[in-house]
This record gives sequence, C-alpha cells and structure tokens, in this order.
Amino acid sequence: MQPRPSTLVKPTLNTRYHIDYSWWDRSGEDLRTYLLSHLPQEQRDLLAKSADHQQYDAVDPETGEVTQVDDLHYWLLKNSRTPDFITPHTSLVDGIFRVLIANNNHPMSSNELSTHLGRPAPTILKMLSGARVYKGIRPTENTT
Amino acid sequence: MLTQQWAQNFAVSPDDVEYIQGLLLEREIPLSLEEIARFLIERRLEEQQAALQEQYRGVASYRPVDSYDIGQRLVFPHQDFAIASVVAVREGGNPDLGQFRVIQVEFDDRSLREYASALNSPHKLNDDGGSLAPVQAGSVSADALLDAHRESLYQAINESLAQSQDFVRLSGRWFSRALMLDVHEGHLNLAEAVLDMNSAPLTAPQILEQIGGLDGGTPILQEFCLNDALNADSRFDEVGPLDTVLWHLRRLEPAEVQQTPIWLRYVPAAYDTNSLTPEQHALEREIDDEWSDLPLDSDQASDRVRLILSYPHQRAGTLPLTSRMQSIFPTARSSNRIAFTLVDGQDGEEFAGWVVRQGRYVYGLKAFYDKHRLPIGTLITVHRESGSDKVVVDFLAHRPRTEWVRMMIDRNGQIGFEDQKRPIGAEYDDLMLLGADDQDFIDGLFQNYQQSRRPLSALLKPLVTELSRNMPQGAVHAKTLYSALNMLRRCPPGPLFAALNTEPEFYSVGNHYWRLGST
Repeated sequence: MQPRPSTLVKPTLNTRYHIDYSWWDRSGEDLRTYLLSHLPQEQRDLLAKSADHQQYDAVDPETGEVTQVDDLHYWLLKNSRTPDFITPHTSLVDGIFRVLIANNNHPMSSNELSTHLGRPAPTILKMLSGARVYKGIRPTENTT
Repeated sequence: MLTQQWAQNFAVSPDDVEYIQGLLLEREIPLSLEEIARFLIERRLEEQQAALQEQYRGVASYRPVDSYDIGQRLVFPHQDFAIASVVAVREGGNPDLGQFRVIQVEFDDRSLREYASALNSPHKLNDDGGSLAPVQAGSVSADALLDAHRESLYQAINESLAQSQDFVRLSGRWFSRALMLDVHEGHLNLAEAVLDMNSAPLTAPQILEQIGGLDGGTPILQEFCLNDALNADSRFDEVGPLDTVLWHLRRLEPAEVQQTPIWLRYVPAAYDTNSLTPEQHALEREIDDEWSDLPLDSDQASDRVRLILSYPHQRAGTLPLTSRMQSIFPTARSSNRIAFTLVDGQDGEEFAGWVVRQGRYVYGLKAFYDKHRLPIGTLITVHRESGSDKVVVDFLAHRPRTEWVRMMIDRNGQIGFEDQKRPIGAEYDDLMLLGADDQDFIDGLFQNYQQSRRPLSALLKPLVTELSRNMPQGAVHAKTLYSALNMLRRCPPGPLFAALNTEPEFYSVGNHYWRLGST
C-alpha cells in the first residue's frame, strides 16, 4: 500500500501566522490576564475598576469593516497605535502577539513580522515553527 | 482574471461568423487570421465591458466617508467586487473616531457584515477604494489575449469558417465568396502566357501587372481572387515558400519534380528497430538518410549541414531532405513543390532548385554534380546564403588526385567490384566511395532490383561476398554496404542493419564490419 503523503507542510518565511483564540480555550491560560499585561499599569487599573464591559466599534483600516470589541481590545488597539507599544525591550513572543493585535489579527508571515519588529525573519520563523505553540500563535490553514 | 476565461476555450459562435461576414462585406478586402482574431477579441471585450456596466448599474462603490441608506446597493472593490444591500444603519461607537455610522449589509450569499459609513477620520478606501476601474477597463488587452491564445484562436476560427460555404480561404486569408471578382477563362489564358514567356515563377501581382489586372476591386482583392482562380486550375502550380505565393506552369516544371525519380523511391520496409545496437543507431545518425526518420536533436540544428553524397542522389541530381536539411531549405504550409535558387559554392553560378517535400528531396543538382565530377561518397556542405533565400551547395575541392575507387562492374551479368584508379578533386568519405562506368548496366540492375520482391538479405549476400573479397580482413563495413545497396535498391540504413543482425548467414567481426558465414 502506498504511503499517504503528509498533510503537514514545513513552514517557510512566507507562512502566515495568526492568534488562534481557540488555543486559549484549551490551554488553561487566562487570555484576559495576558492581554492586560500588554497595557500600561494605569489602564489596567482603570479596566479592573470598570464593572460593565463596554463594547466599541473597531474599523478595519484595510476594508472599513466594523467589528465590535470589548473595552480591553479597544484599549489594546488604541495602544497599538502608540510608538512605545513595541520597544526593543519587548520579548519576541509578546512583540509578535502585539503586532498581530495591532493588525486586527490579520495573518502575517515571518518576513512581514520582521519588518514590524526589527528582528530577523529566520529567528521569528524558528520560534513559531517549533513544537511548542506560543500564546496561541499558529499558522493559518491557507498559507503560501 | 475576468476577461481570460472565454479566451482559454475560445469558441466561434454563429453570431461571430455573421459578424466576420459583415466585416468582410464592409471592408471588401480579404482578412488574415490575425486580423479576424483581433476583431473577435475586441468584440468580446466590448461585450464584456457592456455586461459589466449593466451589472454595476445603480450600484454605488463603497467608501467609508460616504453615507448610505437602507436598500441601497453597494459594491466592495476590495472584496472581489462583491455586491451587497444595506439592511440596517446605526450610530457608531468609538470615541477615537468621532461621530460615524455603522451600516449592516447583506451579501448575495445572505451573509451579514457591518461597515463604517459617514466616517470623517482618514481611511485608505476613501482614496482608492471607490474605483471600479479594474473591472471597467478589463484587466488584459486584445494584444495580450492574442499572444497568449493565438494557436487555439486560429484553429477555432479556421474550423468554424471552413464549415460555411460563404467564405473562401487562401494563404491564411479569408474572404466572402459573395464578393469574389470574376476571373474568367481569358484572364487565366493570359496568366498562362505570361508564365510561359517568363519561364520562372511569378507572384499574383506580377501576373496582374502583365495581364492588365481584373475588372474592378482593390489590388489586394484582385490578388486574392487571381490566386484563388489559379489554385483551382490544374495548369498552374503554387510553388512559393512559406508566406509567399508564387505561380508556375505545371508543364514547365521538371519531370523529376512532378514525379519522384526511380532512384529515390523508397517503399518502407517493416523491421524491428529494437534489433539495432546503440552503435548501429549512431551509425544510422551519421549516415543521415532522409528515410531514416531521425528526429532533429537541438544540438544538431545548424545553419550549415554536411552530408555524404549517395548514389541515388548523385544519379537523380538531388539532395536528401533530412530533418537537419529542412531548416536550411524553404518550406511551405501546403505546397508540395517549392521553387528557389541554388548557388554553386565553387564558382557562384546560380541554377533553379526545387524542394519536393513529399518525396523528401531537393532537385536541381545534376549539372552541379556533372560539372565537378563528384563521386559517390563526396562530402557536400549546404548553407543558406546570408540575407537571401538562396541556398549554397559546396564541397571541399582540391587539385584532382588519382585515387583507387571501387567500381561496380558487370561480371558476366552478375554484380562485381573492381578497384580502379580515378581522378577525384573533392573530399570524400572513403567508406562510401564507390563508382560505376557502365551507367546502363547499373540502371538496369536498379530497375530490376527496385521492382523485384527479393528479400533484402538476398541482395546483401552477393554484395558482402564481392565487397569483402579484396579486403585484408575479408569483411566489409556496413557503411560501404549501405552505399552499394543503394546502387541497386533505395534503402535507408535501418532495414539493412536489421537484416545483417537477424539473418544467420551474416557474421559481425566488430566495428561495423561484416562477412559471410559464422567463422
């Protein structure tokens, strides 16, 4: 019997990644706590005091499509447009996560992430293509 | 790509045929396949353009800065030009963006999505997102489509127009039968007289000039109609190379062009090509017989070909039209005979040549061979004269030296060979070098053996015996056998080698040398 070809494709520098939120449901880690860690302390305090989670209309910068986000995502998107959202001191995993957040979780390749982070694309690929999934960042199904 | 789907599988509709007929009637000139194809493509593009405009009529292009009402139809250029209807409007909520509205739209697949509208903050779709230009302009040009699908387009057009009695096709051009000019018997008789006096091929415009033209019509139409009439009359023969129509009188053509000379007629013999060794295949390629059907390797393609003159071609005054030679000589789409000019590479003398495609030979070299007394086995070079259609035939000449030549002789009615001294002034292949003084004897043998049904091995046996008689090893080379066999019967090397391999009376002593018997 002929062996079936593997459905696994070796990731390349053009393989696109996104935040797979379903991974968070299974991982046992708390997504909200992690998301809060990307905000400055004063905003974290403000969100902690807020009892009801307000909804905001986020407009996609590419398509104009509106998605409703909660206050946490709203502040994350707002912060993503500030210059100190990603600094040289940001860890590689957090940096990738923040770039994806800032781009409405549109899938991005190691090459594209490299231009935003100023880190070598092969380094990014090496981390993302390992056996371990970091913070739910996984390749999209339709990768190039 | 929206505009390429139909071009990939182009089909000519009855409506297209009517359109072509209209074009021909309107223009009153024959159109080439390229012109017809271009007209049809441009027509399709215009139809597609109109269909798109109809599809997007009354549909606004989505831009975040604009306001929309419920029921309004929108197209989203950056989402594959999907169309949706506005089904709800609400106020937007985002303190960073100021006041704006959110429209809910329903796409044709019933999916619902929300988009920003009346948005005063900058957005990239406000600058370029509202354009339908990519759809409206069509994404490819007629030229690009023609270049990409030329072959299939031409085939579809030819097949479709050929099915109709309303069109006439000649030399890659089509015209309406209804508009054909009358070419009467008087015109044809005059054309015959003109060609008779000229004794060389002429184009239709040259004939028209001398007969005073046809009645009415443009020069292009007159040329087309005369070509069509000459084509239908058996007195005239189209002998032009590719993309050139040249007319000649059939009765003025050499008999050797009308009918393949007996020395060149090969009746294909079935044999097992797998029985040949790789070395024999290599030797077959070296001999390069026109009936060996050898494919042209890319490394063999050259504008200068060297070949070994064999008896059949020396006798008939011809050259073999092998795959290597075909690229040098003029060719044609449908003409079997093509007239051209041969040039003697030794003294520049020009003489008439004919490519006979079906017979796989080039006629017109009898005077050349006789003038230079070229023996069987002469190494001939052929190349196209630079900047012209003339073909130069040459050989490596030297001061005549007396050489031993194996002559085929009449030994009491039987085939014999005898080494005799002869002056030779050309480089030759010594394994192919043969001669004959008694032409009548050889012609008689050839006619006898060519027509007889004797198996090849029966012809080979006396040749092997006689040719190996005076050889130091008592064996004869396969190339010499090929050269001698072709003095008796036209035969390429393949069947000859197969007979040597399979018949038990022939014994290989190596290096293509053969003798009779097993010891």
